[in-house]
Amino acid sequence: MTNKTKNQSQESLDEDIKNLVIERLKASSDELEIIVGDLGDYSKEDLIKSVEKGDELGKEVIEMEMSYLKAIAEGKIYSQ
Amino acid sequence: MKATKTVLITRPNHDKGTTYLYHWSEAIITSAKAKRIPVLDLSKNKANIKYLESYIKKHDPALIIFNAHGAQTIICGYDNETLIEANKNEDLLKGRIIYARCCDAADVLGKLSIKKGAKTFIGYKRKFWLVTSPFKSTRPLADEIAKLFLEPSNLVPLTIIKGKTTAEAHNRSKNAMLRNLSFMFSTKASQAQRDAAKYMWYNIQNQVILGEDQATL
Repeated sequence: MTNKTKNQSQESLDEDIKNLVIERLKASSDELEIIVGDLGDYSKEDLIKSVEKGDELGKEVIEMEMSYLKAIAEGKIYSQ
Repeated sequence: MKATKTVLITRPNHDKGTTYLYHWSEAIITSAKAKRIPVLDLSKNKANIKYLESYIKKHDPALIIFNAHGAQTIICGYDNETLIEANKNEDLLKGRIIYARCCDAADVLGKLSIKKGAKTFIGYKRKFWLVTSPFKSTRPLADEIAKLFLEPSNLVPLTIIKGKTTAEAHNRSKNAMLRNLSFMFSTKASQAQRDAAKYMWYNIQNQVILGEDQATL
């Protein structure tokens, strides 16, 4: 696989991950406010916008969400 | 020489997050006073560097609880004024047990403070997520979602104040978070509580204990 193809694959994967996180956020409760340190306090809609923009908060949300999904897939959460 | 059996706590309240911590920390102060342990309460705009340095030098507290915003190399106070900064004044933490209820500080500052002689540093190596109900903003102590996060978090200082080791404090806190996580997966939890589970998981993964795990107050 060429470097160009690898980069395209990675971009495509990143886009899929972003879309997955956005859909999961859309499906979540409207009755939550999330406070993340000095980044501020956010509604579900705010988090979705940040993930779409790819800003600092958006990246944190993606990391947090993927960490959680990975733990579920690996059975780590239920084995605690 | 052992620090004095005194607790210093910072409680800024300049935004929603710190206001929640301000109110939820009252239980820690009450517990210390019930055990006749002196409490230095740097609340509201007293959570600044001038008071912090002065109180540490004068009273030599054995336990410091930072309710704050933070980053990998800093812990902040009121209006996000830097209180402790890596390679500047982490020596203020020497000989003390630290609980930093803030983002990221365990990743760099915590490790450095241990190298520079802090006894124990319990904190978070990534972001500390706090989930709240938008309907309870004016009554943080009545917030049943925030309670799931802050009651276990309070167990760190509460357990130390009861005379237990820092390992017990860290483990009790983590076990309480795990119990709450189980509840959040259950059908007894509301949709909002269930959706908050992923943030709880992240906090569980990122709460760490550095330095001596058998330290006591």
